[in-house]
Amino acid sequence: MSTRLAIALLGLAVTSIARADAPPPSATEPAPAEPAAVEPASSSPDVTPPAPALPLPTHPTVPNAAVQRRLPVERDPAPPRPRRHGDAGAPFALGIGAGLMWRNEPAHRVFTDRAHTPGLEVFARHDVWARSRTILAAGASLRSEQLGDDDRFAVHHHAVQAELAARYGVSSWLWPELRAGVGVVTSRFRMTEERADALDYRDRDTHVVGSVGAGVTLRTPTRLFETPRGRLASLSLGLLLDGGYTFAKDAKLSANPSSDGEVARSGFALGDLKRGGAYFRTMLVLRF
Amino acid sequence: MKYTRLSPRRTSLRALVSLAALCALACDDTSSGSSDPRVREASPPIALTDGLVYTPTAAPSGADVVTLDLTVDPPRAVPRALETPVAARAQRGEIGDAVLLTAGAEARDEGKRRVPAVPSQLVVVGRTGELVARTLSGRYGALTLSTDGRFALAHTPTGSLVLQNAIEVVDLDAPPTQPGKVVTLQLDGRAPSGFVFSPKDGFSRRMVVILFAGSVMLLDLERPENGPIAVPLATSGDGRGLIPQRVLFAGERMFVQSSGTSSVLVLELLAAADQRHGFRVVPSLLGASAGLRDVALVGSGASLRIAALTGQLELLDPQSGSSTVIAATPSATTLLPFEGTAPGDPVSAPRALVFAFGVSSVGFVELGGGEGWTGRNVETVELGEPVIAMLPLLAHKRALGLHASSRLSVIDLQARTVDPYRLAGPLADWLIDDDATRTRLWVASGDKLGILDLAAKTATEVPITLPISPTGQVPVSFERGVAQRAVVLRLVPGARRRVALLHASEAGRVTLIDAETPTRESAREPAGFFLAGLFD
Repeated sequence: MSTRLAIALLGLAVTSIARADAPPPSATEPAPAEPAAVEPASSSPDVTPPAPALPLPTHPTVPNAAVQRRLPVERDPAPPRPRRHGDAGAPFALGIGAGLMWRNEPAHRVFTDRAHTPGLEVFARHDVWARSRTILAAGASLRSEQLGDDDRFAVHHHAVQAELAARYGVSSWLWPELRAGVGVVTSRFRMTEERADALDYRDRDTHVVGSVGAGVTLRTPTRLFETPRGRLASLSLGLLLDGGYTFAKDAKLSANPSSDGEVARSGFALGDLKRGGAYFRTMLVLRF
Repeated sequence: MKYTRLSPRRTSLRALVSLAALCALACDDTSSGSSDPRVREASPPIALTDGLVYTPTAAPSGADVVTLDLTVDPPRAVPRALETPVAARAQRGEIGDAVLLTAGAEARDEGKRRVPAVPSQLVVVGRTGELVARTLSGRYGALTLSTDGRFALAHTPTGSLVLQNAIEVVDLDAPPTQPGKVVTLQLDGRAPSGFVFSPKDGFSRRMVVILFAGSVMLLDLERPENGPIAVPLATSGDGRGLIPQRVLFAGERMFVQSSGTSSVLVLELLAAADQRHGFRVVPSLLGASAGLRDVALVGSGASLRIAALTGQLELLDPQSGSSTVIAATPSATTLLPFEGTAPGDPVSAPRALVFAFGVSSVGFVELGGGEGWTGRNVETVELGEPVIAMLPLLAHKRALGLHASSRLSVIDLQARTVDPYRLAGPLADWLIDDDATRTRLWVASGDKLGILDLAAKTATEVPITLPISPTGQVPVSFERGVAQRAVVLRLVPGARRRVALLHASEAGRVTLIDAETPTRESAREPAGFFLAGLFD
């Protein structure tokens, strides 16, 4: 098809030079035929000589009839598609990225000298409602965080939340949003000693967690990745910058020693570890 | 022709999932900067009545002191932080409070602010974790307490631009607000090699004898502001070669045994109101026939004598200065005097056990009877293996002979018999546990914990596995011949007497065995107490 188009363009250039003054015939008209021979008029003074035959319409760019038969024929345009939720019909969104959580309290200085700790975050959303440029999406997110660089002495936080996000399309590439989530957070403490008769110390605490935040997504324009056959039309990539606050009850953890059954063992309370705090995250968002 | 658009629903999702999997994370890849929070060295605890005091070098919670209160079940841990880390520690008596000496800190710059130097503190720790701190005048690195726990000497000054021969005397019975007394040991550039305190009873003054090469210094603990009195060990010749080894106290006199001489230095304190110290020191020498190997006091008052081992057993009379050989002990190097009976003599009298390290026999000799009884017999008892150390249990009229093999000899000093016990391995640690009804010796050897009933002469095994790694090694002072003693056991007195099995643990761990019913079911093991209050 691309080759034909190229040939057509070449013929157009040649015809334009040969017929510089001739008005182009209509593209829908058939090609003009050879003019028929004209018989001389009779001696009868009452016979009107026939009008000369109109030339057969030809393709405006290519005079060769053989080529004309191989050219595509234009059809009527397709009716407009029904409008869908989302942009170019892309209701799904997957996000993956990293975030920082700020908890300025003495407990965290056991693990790090900094006031913030990094974490891995993923989310999945689906658009559920739209009006004008405002779209509401529902989904779930997961945040995983480790306090401490050593796996043998660390606290792991894992938070799963159901969330709602409302975004507004300022333009096709700029989408500010508000989000809120609620779910469950589990904190696990673990310490393993480096000795032959070492013990393991573990504990776990689970509680409700909630979060609110605001951010903005910078995304690629619609249909940027669309292939000539129409695939990947709805695919877009975006960068979400999001900040907010996480609400969660402090984790109450203890150092509970492992038991081998020989002697009754007892552990000791570690105290309260703050789980909530301000956060900021950077996410790569895939929408399709 | 216009191209036909495909429906978005037909878009393949496989490529999108793969794309999502390849997304990079904006991870914080720099290290946190915090040091490893776990304990690297575990030191043996100090046992109090119903309590244990630990001083971990680097507890995760940042605590310098962790007190384990054993009056409650499960035990309660009280972590406490001090101004500066602990430099030394001691205990007031056998079961008294723990006394800690903090290291202090040098002055330093914090940004634009100059942080002043922090002096050392003496901190007394009780069972419930309460602290009573006294600030000293300077920074010190060592601590010595008198035997009754009343007086504390902070010595070995640390830091820069400090006087090296200064010590600080603190009366721990005085209010905490009463400062200590700094005393300058004006001798020369030498550092003291030891401190010997006079007993609470049996001597006229509370004194400390500071040992130096070639000399001693006497310091009145109740009036340290008067300064020390220096006394050379030799009146003539090069006395710097003499090393003081033992100081004995009786009445108004001190007796100093030194290596490299056959004389005992006698220092008599005579009251003198006109003297700054309130007394004056009158030195004299008691000469023996040969180099002194060991000395001991016999009798009191007018019958006071110095028993000295010189290759023979001699009695030195501090009144007359005479020396009388009373027995031949050519191989003995150590003298262990005691009061007790003997086979065939039910009257308690001064006697002695004589022995030498590396020799498999010990001897018994009578010390009473004065100089009139010479040529005394030394009754020899064979142990079967050479002795590497001797642990006196004089209150129980016994002595423990330690051997290089898995063997322990319990010597009955009055019956002059030996009970040999085969242990599970070389003896690692031991402790005496006695109450009104019986006396038991707990021994840790190999991986087994055993109890020896000294009176019933029975041995039983406690069915609890010993810790693999002890909490540390400590030098054994009296039991000469044993270089190190693995610290595994501690006796915890109280309402319920318990024996603590000490574990070297980063998180803190101890096994408490009921001394009355030492079974696995009655034992308890608090673990993780170094982590107590980690997040507080």
